[in-house]
Amino acid sequence: MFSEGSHLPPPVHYWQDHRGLGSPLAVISRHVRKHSLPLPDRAVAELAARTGLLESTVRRAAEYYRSMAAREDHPPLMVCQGTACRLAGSGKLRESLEKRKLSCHGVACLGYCDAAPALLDERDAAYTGDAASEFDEHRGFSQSILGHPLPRMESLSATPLILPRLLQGGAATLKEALSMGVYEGLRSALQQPGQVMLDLMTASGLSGSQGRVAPRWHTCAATDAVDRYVIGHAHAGTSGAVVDRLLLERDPHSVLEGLALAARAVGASHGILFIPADYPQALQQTEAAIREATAANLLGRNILRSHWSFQVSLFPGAARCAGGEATTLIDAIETLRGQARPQPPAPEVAGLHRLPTLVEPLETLVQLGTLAKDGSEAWTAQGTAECPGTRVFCLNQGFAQPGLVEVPHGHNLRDLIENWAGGGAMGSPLEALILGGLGGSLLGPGEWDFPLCPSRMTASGLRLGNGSLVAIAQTADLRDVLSHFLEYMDGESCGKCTPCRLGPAGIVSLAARYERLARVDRKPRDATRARRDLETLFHTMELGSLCSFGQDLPGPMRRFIDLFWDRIFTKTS
Amino acid sequence: MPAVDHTPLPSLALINGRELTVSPGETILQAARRLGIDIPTLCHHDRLSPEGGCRMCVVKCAGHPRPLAACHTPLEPGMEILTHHREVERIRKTLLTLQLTTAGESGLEPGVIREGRFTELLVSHGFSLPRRTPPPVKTDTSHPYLRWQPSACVSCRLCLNTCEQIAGHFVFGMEKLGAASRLTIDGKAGFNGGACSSCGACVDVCPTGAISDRDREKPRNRRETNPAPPVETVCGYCGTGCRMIVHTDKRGDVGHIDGVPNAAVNHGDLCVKGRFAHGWHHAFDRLRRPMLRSGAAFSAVPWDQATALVASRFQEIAAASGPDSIAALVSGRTSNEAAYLMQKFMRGVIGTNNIDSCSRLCHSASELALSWMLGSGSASACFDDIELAGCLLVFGTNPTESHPILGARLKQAALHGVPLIVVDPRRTDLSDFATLHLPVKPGTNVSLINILCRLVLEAYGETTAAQVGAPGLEFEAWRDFALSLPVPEASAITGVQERDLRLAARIIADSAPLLTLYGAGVTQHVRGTAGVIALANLALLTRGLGQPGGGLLPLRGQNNVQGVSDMGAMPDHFTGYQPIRSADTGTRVAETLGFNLPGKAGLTVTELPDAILAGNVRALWVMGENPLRSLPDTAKTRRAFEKLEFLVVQETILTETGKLAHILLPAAAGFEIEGTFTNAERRIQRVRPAVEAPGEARPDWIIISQVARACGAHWHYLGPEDVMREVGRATPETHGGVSYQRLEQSPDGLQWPCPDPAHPGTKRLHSGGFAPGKGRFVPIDYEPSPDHHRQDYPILLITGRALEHHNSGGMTLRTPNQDLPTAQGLALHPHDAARLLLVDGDEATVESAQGSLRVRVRISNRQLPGTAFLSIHDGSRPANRLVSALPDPDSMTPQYKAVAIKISR
Repeated sequence: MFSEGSHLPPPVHYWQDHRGLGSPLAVISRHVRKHSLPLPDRAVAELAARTGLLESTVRRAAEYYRSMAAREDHPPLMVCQGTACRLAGSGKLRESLEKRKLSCHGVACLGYCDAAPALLDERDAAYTGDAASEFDEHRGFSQSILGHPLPRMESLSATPLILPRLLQGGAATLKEALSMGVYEGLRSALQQPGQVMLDLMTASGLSGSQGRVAPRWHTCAATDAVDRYVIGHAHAGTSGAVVDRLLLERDPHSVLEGLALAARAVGASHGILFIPADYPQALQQTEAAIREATAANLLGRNILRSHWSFQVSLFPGAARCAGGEATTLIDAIETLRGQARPQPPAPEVAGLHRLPTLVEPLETLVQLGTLAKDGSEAWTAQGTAECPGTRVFCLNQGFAQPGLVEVPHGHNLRDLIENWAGGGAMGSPLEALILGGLGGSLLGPGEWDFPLCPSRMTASGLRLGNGSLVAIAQTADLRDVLSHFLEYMDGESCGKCTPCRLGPAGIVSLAARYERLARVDRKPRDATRARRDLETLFHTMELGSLCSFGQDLPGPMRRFIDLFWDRIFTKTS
Repeated sequence: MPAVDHTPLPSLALINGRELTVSPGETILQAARRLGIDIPTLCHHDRLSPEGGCRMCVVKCAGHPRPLAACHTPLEPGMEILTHHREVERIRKTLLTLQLTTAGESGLEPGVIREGRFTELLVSHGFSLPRRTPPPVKTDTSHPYLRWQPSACVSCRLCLNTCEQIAGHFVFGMEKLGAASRLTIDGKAGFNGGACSSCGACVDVCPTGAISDRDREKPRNRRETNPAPPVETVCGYCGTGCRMIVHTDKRGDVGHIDGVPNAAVNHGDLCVKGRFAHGWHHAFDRLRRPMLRSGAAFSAVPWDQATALVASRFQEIAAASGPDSIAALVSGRTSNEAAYLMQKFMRGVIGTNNIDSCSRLCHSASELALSWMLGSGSASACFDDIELAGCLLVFGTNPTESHPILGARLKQAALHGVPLIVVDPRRTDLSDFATLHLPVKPGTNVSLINILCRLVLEAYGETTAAQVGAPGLEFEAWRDFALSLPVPEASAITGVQERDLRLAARIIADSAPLLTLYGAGVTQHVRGTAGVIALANLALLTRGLGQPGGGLLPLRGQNNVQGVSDMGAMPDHFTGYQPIRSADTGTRVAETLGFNLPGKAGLTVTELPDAILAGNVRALWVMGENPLRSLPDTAKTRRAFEKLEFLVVQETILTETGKLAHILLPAAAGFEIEGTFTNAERRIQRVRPAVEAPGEARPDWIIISQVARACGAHWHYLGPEDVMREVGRATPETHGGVSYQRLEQSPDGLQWPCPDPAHPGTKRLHSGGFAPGKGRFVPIDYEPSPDHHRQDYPILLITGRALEHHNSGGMTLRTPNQDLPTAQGLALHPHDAARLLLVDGDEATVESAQGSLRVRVRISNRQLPGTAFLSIHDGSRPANRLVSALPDPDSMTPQYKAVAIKISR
């Protein structure tokens, strides 16, 4: 081990920038998007020379991005397979595109839930809603990345904490960001020791989907280690990540400032932004922002002539990463495999490269600038006692008025659905709601009367998840929704632990058995047993899975089956 | 104030109602095992970090809403664990049911799973064994040893984790997600793809037989009935000395080989050679009967006649030309006992010191320089220091190929953050894991080490330097010499950038203790001894000698090359490095062994060809060596050997040298003998016969004894044990306490010095300081090699080993190793190749002052520009034809590592 006080250069990891050219992995992922695998030796050698990585690492990285690789050197269309898009008919869209001999690649979520369905063409321009449904492969060169209209956005809080800059149209460049006061928080935090930021965090009671964030920061800061990491992650691979995409595309400097402030608070010297490689525009904007901020000495060595240095690396994640579970992200960064790791130790104690690692969603990070600049009053003044502050919800296009809304914690869900979003699209009543992604909560119409407060929800067995709200209309194909649940879990599971890896397949085979038995209707006892077996399986998945992804997903799925059992199975027979 | 008892109460937990004390960091699984409670696991392995994937080890814990995985959850005070609660049993059964019923998605075919850990789990959970079905896909048998049957894979990742966390290779991967996730082997390339070193560690851990090997997949009739119990012995390849278990098959042949779990050296691991390359023991061309030359052909003769003939011819020649006209060569493959008897025969029966071993060709420089400087010619450190080192300097050796088990341990140390500096002209596998790689120009080691010494001295500053320089060590003179060396000049000589030199020195200065592992890249040079002296200076400067995690560790090439030297198979030393010239040695030999030691030092093997050609040596006994392949300047060596009047070759197979013999004596091989081997860390370990020698082949010690008796000596050894007892008497300082009885009791052997039966052996030399007059600094300056700066031969050739083959390939080329993808041919840097207009695969002529070869060119950017590499195993292109016979004047080791050549199309 490196001895204390050693002046050795710290080891340089492959995901770090070796040559001052930005993320070496971004270079490789972009190359893979445009070329088919396996890459020829010459391409590998060139990429190795460009990025400063070993050839074997280049090969491994290219393999990691396999799912987005071009076919016969032609980049495929990326069709969103998120829940919102699925309900909006992305399955049929994909079928029709493939019928037209267009190569398609299904993506966990492109982040356009409010305007589903969505697809990206081979130049990575986004097409949503009708534009996607009527996608014409012979179209001219029209869409530009920021040309895509912003969704409806509103704050029901007088002092929005997450969306303030997006509500003003965003601040993609450093100049715009500075004019909106970004980096002022960092400037003032640099005048004070990191402990001040940590105290501010505690005072504010800033909360994420699991409740208050500060305790984890304290653990991370208190752990004895030579260095620490901070990872900011977009909700990789989970449906409903609209706000993450928008923050990265239009407010990247707030994200960077937040990352630096979190690092300042816990004493980390390195930050990593884990951004799904499926968000090419977000990736590009963030990369540009890092470059601008580094050039302006807002990141990098001796920030603003202080004694504090902080480096940010960009990690384009191949999406589909156990719903963004923290240890999975860490494993992806460390080994390019993305497999869940056993806890304890928690990432705050021993995470990336066995060093204490803070993993925070972007929504938490973007609040930190304001916190450092203006203090904690804005948090304590709103929200609930357990969870001060606000939360952004993204309502999908199944509502009459979809969009993003920032509300103080504790806001009533039914009010949000009925008054802000105007109920179901076209006035049709809703069958159910999926709150917080597929691993969140499934709520029937009678279950909407509760305050949206993470702590109180956890107490009553509900999960806030990533804050997305997806409406299931009465016209929805419930069998397809169940298939979506199963396909999502199967397609997202890292495959490490048996219950999560094989559970969905087990459910399929049990359901098929039940259906067969129910149809012939000879042995009702066997059918009962099949249903009991299904219950055992859910139980095993919930209790036996390694990480929160496998533990959380069966809940809503079971609830869904319980609610709609008859309509899924018997009616169709 | 009353006295308060501050001793904390022991923190207790309950497992299945039984109380136990919690020890920090211990997992529930480990704690349960302590109580003898068995928690089922599938993906867990004690030597790997907890995987947590199979979830079979879930246990119920009171107060916890969900069950805990025992393999990765630490036991905490107050926990109440139930390991076999109904709820967790139901989860376990559901998990096994899932494995068995989702075959369509997971690709697992239960009927293909071989009996083993997985089927045991099925049985213990009340499942009936799946009916055996033929595999839906054919087993992949494209690799010479490893077998892959995907439909038996349960995705436990034991192979993957073993490969990464122990073997240090990164062969396996997982592709896709969910039920579709599958194990990948080297991407899509399979075991033949190049990433796999074929060590077979994955086979050991596979619970279902999805990964298996050729030996385990042998037809049932050969595998199942096992007539003899498996035998524990020591590997016969490199100097690591891995302990192994040899299982025999029904015919009595070697069936399969496992590593001995918990063995001190290898912890149960083996490499491709040790685990798989045993087929040569049963090669059809093993020598089975003594053969006498008549004209160009050989004819079989009875043993009596053979030994009588050897004895009478030796006696004749000795009588005619004196005992010094006879010489003997001992191989590093023979046992300590055989080597001892051979030198005793030459000295006591024939009366000459003309005895040498292949150590002359590799580490004589170490023996000479280290004994001169430090008082002992062998490794000061032990292998366990690799994990304890503050900084690892790997100098002129490629351990992942030549000493794979040590290579793996080094790689793991580097992966765990120990700074690793690799000095090698080639970018070796290990250098990819190194903190720093210094691509030194061949033959300039002395300059590189000296300048490192200077820079470390500077980094230390006055205070530390003052601590190093105790009076009487001649430190000041050496320091002045080192500080006078200019850095830019050294950088120009060695071809290593100044910046890298400074960084290396800083790493060394900052991260004590320094452990230096070096190999033939240091010693096989004209200035080899100087290189070792310089390394010893660096070791003295960094004060690691004798400290845990520090010191010098020369890596020995053959299983017993250390022991052969220990046994006195050297022309100037008796056993235990007792100098021939010393009167004490003579007295002791006369007293304990009853003969007078010849006073004149004998000939080294390097001097032998000239001595034969000059007519000074007329008869030669070669035991287990193949000098025609291993000595430099093959043409001259052949001329000399052809001139010999009487050449006895005692061998297991017919080698190039054997073809020139007048009489061939069939010897028993490594798995057929009783004895001891001493590895590179001075560890004496027991070797036991696992299979019978073919035909009339006999162990070396018996052959030598019989020849000695035929010469009239009164040798009556009861067995190798008896010989070792005599070694102890003749060498009490180092081997006095070594006996077979003790070696049986401590299966990991004894590390000499072990002077008396109560002594535990010595892990590290010099831990109590140096012998009087030793441990001094010696200024030694760089001198260019005669092969440098030759206009006519501009490229420097390095010769060496390949992973798959051992030295000249005599053994490994008689096994399926010959089918392994070995990097063949002359490796050249792309720039050199381009200049010579050569492309990959071209045939080219390589010429040196000694001779020429036609070889295929392999272009490799791992090569330093201006250098080339050629492996020595290929008998059709013997690399040594090119090597100059001009040796290091001190150690008489030839310069195999820097041969001036030119290449033409």
